[in-house]
This record gives sequence, structure tokens and C-alpha cells, in this order.
Amino acid sequence: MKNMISLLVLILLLSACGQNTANDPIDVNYKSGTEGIDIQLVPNHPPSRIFEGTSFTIAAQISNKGAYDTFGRIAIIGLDQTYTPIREQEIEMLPLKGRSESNTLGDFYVQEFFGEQTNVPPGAKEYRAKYLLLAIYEYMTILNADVCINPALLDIEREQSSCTVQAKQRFSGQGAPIAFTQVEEVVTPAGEDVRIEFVFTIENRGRGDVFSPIRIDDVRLGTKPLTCNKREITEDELKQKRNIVVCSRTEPRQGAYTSALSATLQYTYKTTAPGEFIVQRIR
Amino acid sequence: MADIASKPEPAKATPKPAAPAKTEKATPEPVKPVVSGGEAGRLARMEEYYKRDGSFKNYYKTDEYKEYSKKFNKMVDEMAEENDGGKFARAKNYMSKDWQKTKEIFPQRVETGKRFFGRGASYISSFGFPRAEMVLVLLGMGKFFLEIFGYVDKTGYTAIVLSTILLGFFSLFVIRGEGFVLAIGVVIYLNRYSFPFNPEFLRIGIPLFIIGGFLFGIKSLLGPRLLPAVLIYFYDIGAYDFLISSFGLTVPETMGYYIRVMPWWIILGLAYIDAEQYRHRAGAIFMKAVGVGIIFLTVMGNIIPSIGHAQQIPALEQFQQARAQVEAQLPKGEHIVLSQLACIQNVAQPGALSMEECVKRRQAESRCKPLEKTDLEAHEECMKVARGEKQDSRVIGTIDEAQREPTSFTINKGDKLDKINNDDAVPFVLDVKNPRKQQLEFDITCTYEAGNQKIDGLPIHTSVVEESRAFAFNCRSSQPLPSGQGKWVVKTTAYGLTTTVGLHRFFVGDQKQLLEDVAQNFFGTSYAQAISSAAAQPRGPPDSVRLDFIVGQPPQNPIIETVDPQLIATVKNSGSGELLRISRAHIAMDAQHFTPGPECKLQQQGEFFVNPELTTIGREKVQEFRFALCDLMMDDEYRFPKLPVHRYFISTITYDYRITKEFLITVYQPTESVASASEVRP
Repeated sequence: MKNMISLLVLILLLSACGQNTANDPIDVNYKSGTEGIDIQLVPNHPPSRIFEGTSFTIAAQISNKGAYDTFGRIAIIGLDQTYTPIREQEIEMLPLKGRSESNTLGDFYVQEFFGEQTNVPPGAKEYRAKYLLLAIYEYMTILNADVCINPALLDIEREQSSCTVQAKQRFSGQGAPIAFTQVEEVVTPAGEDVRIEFVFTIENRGRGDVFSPIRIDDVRLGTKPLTCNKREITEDELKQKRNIVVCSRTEPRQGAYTSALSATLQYTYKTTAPGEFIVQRIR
Repeated sequence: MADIASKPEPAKATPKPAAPAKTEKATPEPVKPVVSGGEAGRLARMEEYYKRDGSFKNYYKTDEYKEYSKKFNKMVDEMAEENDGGKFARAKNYMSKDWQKTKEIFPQRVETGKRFFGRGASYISSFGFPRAEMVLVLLGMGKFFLEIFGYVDKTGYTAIVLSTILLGFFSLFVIRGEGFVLAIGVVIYLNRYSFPFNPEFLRIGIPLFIIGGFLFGIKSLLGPRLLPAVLIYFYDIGAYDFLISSFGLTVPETMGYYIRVMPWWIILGLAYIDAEQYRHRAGAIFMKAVGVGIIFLTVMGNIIPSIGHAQQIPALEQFQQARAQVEAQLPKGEHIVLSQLACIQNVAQPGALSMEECVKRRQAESRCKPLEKTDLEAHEECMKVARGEKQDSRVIGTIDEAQREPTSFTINKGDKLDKINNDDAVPFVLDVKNPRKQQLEFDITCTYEAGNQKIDGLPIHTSVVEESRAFAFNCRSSQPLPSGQGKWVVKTTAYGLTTTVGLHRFFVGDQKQLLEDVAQNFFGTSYAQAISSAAAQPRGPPDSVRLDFIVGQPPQNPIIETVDPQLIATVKNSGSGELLRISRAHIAMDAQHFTPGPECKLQQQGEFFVNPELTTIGREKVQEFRFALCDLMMDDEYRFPKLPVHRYFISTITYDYRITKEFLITVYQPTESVASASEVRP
């Protein structure tokens, strides 16, 4: 009987080591991916065809699918005020929290634009109203990576070190449309000290465009700040692939160690969604 | 002299020797030829050929005949050079003897002209004359130069008559009646009947072909050598353009260009030049080389016209419409060959333009010429553009998908028009297409014209508000019409036609970050290419008259930033009628946001711009004239908008338009009780 109880306890213990159930916490990295604000037009708002003289409503779901909190504005452009008048063309976007452990989808809401009585130009049977929804919002990107700092000059020294330097680290995204895609580490002796350089490659991996220069903030190795060769990257520089930032620091030479490299980007980003509907003349 | 030299064939000798044939008519039995020596042998062989083949065709290919011909020509040449009376007498005698002998051997050939059936064959064959092909070349040149110097349009009654004359000349004189009756049939069919084949034609066609074939021989019906001329004729009257547009055929642009600019009648004439016939062979060969030169020069050209859009049922009028439509779309300028010839001189001069640039500039300058008479300001600007001193500011419009169908009206003859007397009314139909259901008023006047006589018919008035209406009416005079050939001239004036044209423009101000978004989403292209996007062009229905306009900096650019824009607007008459009066013409473009520059003729009336000086007097038939050419100053609302502003500007023109059409008619006295009418081109 004693053996039987021991067996049941063992089975119970073993079963506890099995697969997670849906309610179990999962170790998800929310600071991944390249999305930010997403605009989805709500179907049938407005219908694809409406009659002249009627009003209309354009509705869109605004979702923050990135990992950072945001705020900004939503605008609609392209509607002629004579034929498809709209009450407000630009509206403040509600502050939206990014994806996190407590909010796995990120915040979202439905934004409506109210149109007034439509018209059809003289002579025409119908008027094709094309428009473009525009979300312009503040966003950020934070990179956190472990790096090995090893000032050893000889191979034999390196092999005996506690960590190995990765000359290049590649990243797919940090939960924002602008991403650090590569970090290159260069350690060079400088007398008694060593100079540590990090070469950051920054790219637009989102489906929109940057709407402001990208500010490079708070680049640190552990708690120590790094000095960078530029404070910001303009939109043009980003497009022309002049998207490299070099940050460095001089440290006294010591043994190899692992540290946390962090960097933050701040920028305004723009996402668009096109739509159209037809205003038909009543015969 | 030269005629004799070009006619060495005994059986086809000059008409003069035909006289003895009459005297030989009574001879019942063929007389044995009296021949001697080498000549006897030659004639015997000739006879054998004739018996075997039924013609001398193969004999003429023999070396013996060529030798004989050479000898004969030499004699004539010597005679001409030496002016030797003795030699001339000998040649005449030689010729006469030759004819006599031929006549004795082949009495049946001499008698051909006496048989009833096909007697016309020899009759029309006698129309053919030496060097007719050279005359065709000259006639073709005449037509070609009349066209390229603008004395004759490529479409229209005169053009058809000229082409018909050339077809007739070719059939009758160059190929000596081959296919002559067929050519008459083709011309009649095209003028009276439509395709697909209308069996009604058989009522005329069968008697025509039977009697024609009987009189002029089978060759007058089936003339394969007529085919190239018929093809050229078909091209001339517009069948080519009609087929291309109706069946949506794709002709390579380069080929289409060659077909269009080639002087076909000249080439046809040159192709028929037989250098052997000519005393100065070098001259004839030179002429052939000219033909090759024309083709070469034409091939050097580089203007590629576009081909227009389709109609449905062919007939001469439809062909003409198709061709007129294509011609209207082609740039009206100097013929490319003339430009090339003129530029050959220039290129040699130091500092001159290259051949290509020179031709391009001459072509561009020549296209400005029509404006010289109508709008000096526009002409001057056109010339500046041609010289590259100014950017091109033409207004090119497009068709609005929401207004695809034009408002149009045409006059057609009534269904049955076969028996009328001189006091009968002639039925016609006014076909109105009114897709935008405008309130239209029509005045119709009929005038009967016969020679210098003009008889006014009773005026007719009608209104149309429906989308489509066929209004039947009669042309009737208050007095009996004179019998004989005449025509009803029907003039229809539409009052109150209105055409609107729209234009998309975006005022973006200094928000350069949104330029690409606007260009991509609203003009379907990048910002750099937006200027050439079809969405950036003024769009409206394909009506006869439009007020096309563009605004921007440059005016073709639909995305306006902070620089003040320019406005260009032109009134276009692309129909075949006359623009009689413009009762309203304005552009609704938020005029309150713009201040016209000092040289601008426009005035602001609320949200509209109007041109108080606009008139149609003297411009009734002008295809295009300027409405406005203005620099506009934007206010800050448009210069620095918070968000890009989209505006759909609209021009409106209300006008009176007249079309004139003529219908041929033959009037008989009541006792004759037969009349016929046939439509002629408008």
C-alpha cells in the first residue's frame, strides 16, 4: 500500500512536468516584430455606393500592434468638400498602450469621421470619392541586447575568457516599425584602456514612413552612457541607406565580461489606409 | 515618233493601221501570207505561237522578237537623230508591210473589234496610252502636294473625287480597262450601300456586271491588276482606319505611320513604269529610283500617330468618319518628307541643328501655323514651345468614365426614299443622343440646291429632353422642285448644349512628406510621374465642344505646392460642325482663393472665373481657341493648408452648335414618277 501511494505521488509529480495548459503563463517577448499603429477600414462604413444627398460615415479600427504606448492624430485627406463634405478632417488619436503581458493585443478603438450631404458634379452619373486615412503618431524603439566585452588581443586569451564576443548581432525588430537591425561590436586597445565601439544599423521595417527625424537617445552599456557620432537620422538619410550610428566608450582594460547594451529611438511615424466609395446620382 | 518607238508590237500597232482592217472585212478566206527570207520564218513562227496560245504573249518573250524590236527601235532612233526623210519613209513602209502581213496571217485578230461581245474590250483598250503610268505619277503628285500643302483635306468630298479619278484613270488608261467595270461597281457600292453586303446592290450590280462584261470583256470584271489601286482607294476613303478602329486591330505604330505618310498613287504609278518602253531608259530608271527615295525618306520619319476609337457599321460615310477621326487626332503639320528635305540644306550649315532636331522643330513649328489666323497669342506661345523656349502648355483632355456617352445629334435620310415626285417631301431623321437629359432645342432648315438655284424648304423646330430620340421630319419646299439632279442641304442647329469638364487638383503646401502619398493614392503614380498621369488631365464627356483646362505649376502638375499656379483653358471643337455661339462659359474653381495676374483676361464672379471677351465670331469652324492663359496668386489657405486640400474644379460651357449635311437627289416630273436620293458626305 505504501508502494502504491508512492507510485501515485510519483505519477502526480511527473504529470506536473508535462505540457502547459492555456492558463499557464508563457514567456513571450512582446518587444518583437515591426508593427506600430494599424488602420483597418470598417467594412460597409461607408457602403461602396451611396446616393447623392445622403450623408456618410467613414469608420476605421485604430490598433496599436507595437510594443510601445503612443498618441497622435488621425486625419482624412482627399475628400472634396463640395461633393463629399466632412465635418472634421483631423482628430486627436486616443492614447493607445502597446502590447504587453497584461495587454497581449495592444489597445484599439474605432474612429469615425462623419460626412454630410453628398453631391455629384454636374453632368456626371456618379462621383468616385477616394480618400486616404492617415495616422501620425509618436513612437519609440528600445533595443536591449547582451554583449560580451573582451579586451583580449591574443586568440589564446580569448579562448580562455568567460564570454565570447559576437562581432555582429542581427535583429528582426523590437516591436516597432523602426528597428535596430544590426549591432556590430569593435573593441580596440587604446594605451592602458580599450575603446569599445558599437555600430548600429537602423531601418524602417514598418508599412509606413517616418514623419520626423529619428532621435537617438539613451545609449548605454550597462548603466554607463555611450557617446554617438550623431544625435538623429533624417527621413532622407534613412531612405538613402545612410542609416548607421556609431556609439563608443573608452574603458580601462580588464577581463572579459557580459553587459547589457541598450538604446532608444524616438520618432513620429505615419501609417495610411486608402479607401473609396461612389456617390451615385439619383435618376 | 516616240509613240511609234514605244509600240513595236505589230498586232497592237498604232490605231492608224486599223483602217485597212475594214477593207479586209469582206475577205472570206485567209490569204496565204506572202513571205520571204528570214522575215517569212519569223512571221510563220509568230503564227504558230498564236495558234498554240491564242495570243502573241509568249512570242513577245522570245529572243527573236526582242531582236526584231531592237532593230526597229534602232531604225527609229537613227531616223530621229538624222532627221533623214528617206529612213523615215523606209520605216513607215516597213511598218505598213508588217501590218499587212500580220493582217493576212491573222484575219480573226484584226476582226476582233467587229465582234459584238467584248467589242468594248478593244474599245477601252484603245484608251490606254503610252506612258499613262507617268501621268498617274503626276496626278498622284498633284494629289499628294495638294494634301500636304493643305489645299485639299485628306477627308471630304474633294478627296473622294480625286481618289475616284485616280482609280478610274489607273483602271482605264494604265491597265487598259482591266477591272474597269469592277471599279465602277466598287465606287457605286461604297456610295450607296453599307456593309455587310447589302443584297439591294444586286439590283444595280447584276445588270452592271452583265452589260459591262458583255461590252468590255471579262477582264473588265476580273482585273487582278486592279487590286493594288482598289486597296489604295480603300485607304484613301477611310476603310483602313475604319477596319482598324472597328475591329480593334493593333497595327504596329511604325507600320501605321508608313501607311499613313506614303504617297501611294505615286508609288503605284512608278511601279508600272516599264523602263524598256522609254527611249531614255536612264530617265525611267531615275523615276523608279525616285520611288525608292520616297519610301526611304518616309521610313526615316519618326512621328508615330495614334489610332482612334471605333464605330460600327461601315459605308463610305462611316469610312470617312473613321478617317476624319484619325486625321483629327494626328498632329496637323508639314509633311515629314518636306521637313526632311528642308532640313537636308540646314544640316550642312555650321552650328545648325542635327537632322533629327531640325525635323522635329520644323514639324512642331508647322503645327502652330493654323493658330496664326485665329489666335496670335496662342500662335506665339506655340512657336516658343516649338523652339524649346517655353514649356509645352497644351491642354490635353480625356474621357470621364462617369460621362462616357457624348451628347450628339445627326441627320440621316429616311428609311424609304425610292419614289418621289417633284412636289413630294423627302423624309429625314434627326437622331439625338442626350445621355444627360438636357433641355435641347433644335432648328432644322432644308434648302434644295440645283446648279445656281436655291429653294428654301419649310423650317422645322423641335425640343428634346429624353435620353435618346429619333425625330422624323420631311424636307418640303413650298414650290415644286425642278426636275433633274440636285441636293437637299439640311442644316440642324442645337441650342443650349452644355458640356462640363472636371479637373482633380491637390493643394499640398509645404507638406513634402505627403507628396508621395497624394501622388500614389490619387494619381496612381509617383510624385515625379504625376504630371503625366491620366488622372491629372481634365476629364469630361466626348462631346463636340469642351472647355478643357489645367491648373498647376507647371499647369500639368496636379499637385500644387507653395508656388503660384498657372491656368490654361481652351475651347475645343472636335466635332464636324460649327460652334455658333457660347452663351455661358466658366470655370468653377474657388475663384475667391485666387487673384488673377495683370495680363489675365479672366474675371471673378463668385466662385467662377469667366472670360468677358470670349467670342466665337470667326472661330465657328476653328478646332481650338484659347479661353485663358493666366498666372494666379493663391491665398494662404491654399498656399499653406494644414492638410492637403483636394478640389475637383469644373468648367461648364453652354453653346449652340450646327451641323450641315447634303443629300443628293434626282427629281422627276410626276409623270416620270421615279426619283432617287443618295446621301453624300457632310
